[in-house]
Amino acid sequence: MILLIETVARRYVCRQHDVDSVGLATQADHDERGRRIIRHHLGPLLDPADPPALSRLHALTIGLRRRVVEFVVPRVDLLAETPVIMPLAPFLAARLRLPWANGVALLDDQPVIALDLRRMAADLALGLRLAHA
Amino acid sequence: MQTSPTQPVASTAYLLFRVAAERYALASASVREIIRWRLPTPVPGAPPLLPGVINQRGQILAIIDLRLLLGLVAAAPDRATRLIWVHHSGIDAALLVDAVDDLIAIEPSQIEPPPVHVAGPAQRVIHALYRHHDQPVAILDPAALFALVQEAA
Repeated sequence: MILLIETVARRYVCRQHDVDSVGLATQADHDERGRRIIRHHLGPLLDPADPPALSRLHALTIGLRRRVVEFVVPRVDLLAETPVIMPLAPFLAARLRLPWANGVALLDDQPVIALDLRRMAADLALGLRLAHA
Repeated sequence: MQTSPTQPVASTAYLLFRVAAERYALASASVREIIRWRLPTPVPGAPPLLPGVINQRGQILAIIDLRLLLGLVAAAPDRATRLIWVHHSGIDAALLVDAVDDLIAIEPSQIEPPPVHVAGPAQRVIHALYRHHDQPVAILDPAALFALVQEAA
C-alpha cells in the first residue's frame, strides 16, 4: 500500500510498511518507551522552497532502536489504487546527496517522488541532512 | 570498403541547438522528441545540474541542464527554452537547452576533428566540429554526455 504525503508545496509517496504509525502530531519529547523523538517538517527538509506547514499537522512516525523520527506534514492519505513506482534513472540516483528518493510514481500524469522514509529516519538520527537543511 | 565517386555519400541528420552563445548538434538518431520547457518535479538531494523529472507521455525523464554540465552560468527559462529527449544506449534523459534551431543533413566529409583549444567539460563531450554558414557547430557525443553527468561535481 502506498501513502500520499502532501506538504505545503509538494506531493510525495512512500510505502506504508516503511511507516510505523500515522497520527496527529504532538509536542512530546519522548515516546512511551522513553525514546527521544526527533521531529522534522518534511517539506523544508526536502526542498528549501517548501515552507513549514502551520495548519493541523499529521506525523509519520518511524521507530528506530533508540530514537523515534517524526515527519510532520499537513496531509497524509492512503491511495486507493497502488501506483507503479518507477526507479530513478541510474545517473540521477548516483548523483543524489543522500539516497532518500528511490523512485517516481505518476499521479494525475504528474511525477511524484517516492521517498525511502526509513532510510531518511536512519540518516537524520545520525545527523545527516541535505545541503540546504 | 571504398566509396566510388559515383555512389551517393550517406549523410546523417543532426539537430542543431543553442546553449548560451554556442551552437551544438546531436545526431538525430539519438533524439526522440523536442519538448517545450515546463517546470520539473525536483528530486530531493539532486544537484542543480539535474533540476528534476518530467512525465512525457508515460516516460519519466530526468532533466540535464546542459549549461551547467558545460560549466556555463545557469539561465532562467524563456519562450525559446526546449528540452531534447535523448535516448542512447538504453538511457533516456531530457537535455535542457536555450533553443532548438534546425534539423540538417551533414555529410561525413563536412565533419572536422574537434577543436584543440576547447577546455573544461566541453572538451569531454565534443565529438567533432561542423561549419554551418561559416559558424562553428560542436557535435556532441551522447555517451560522453551521460558519462560526464555521472562524474560532474
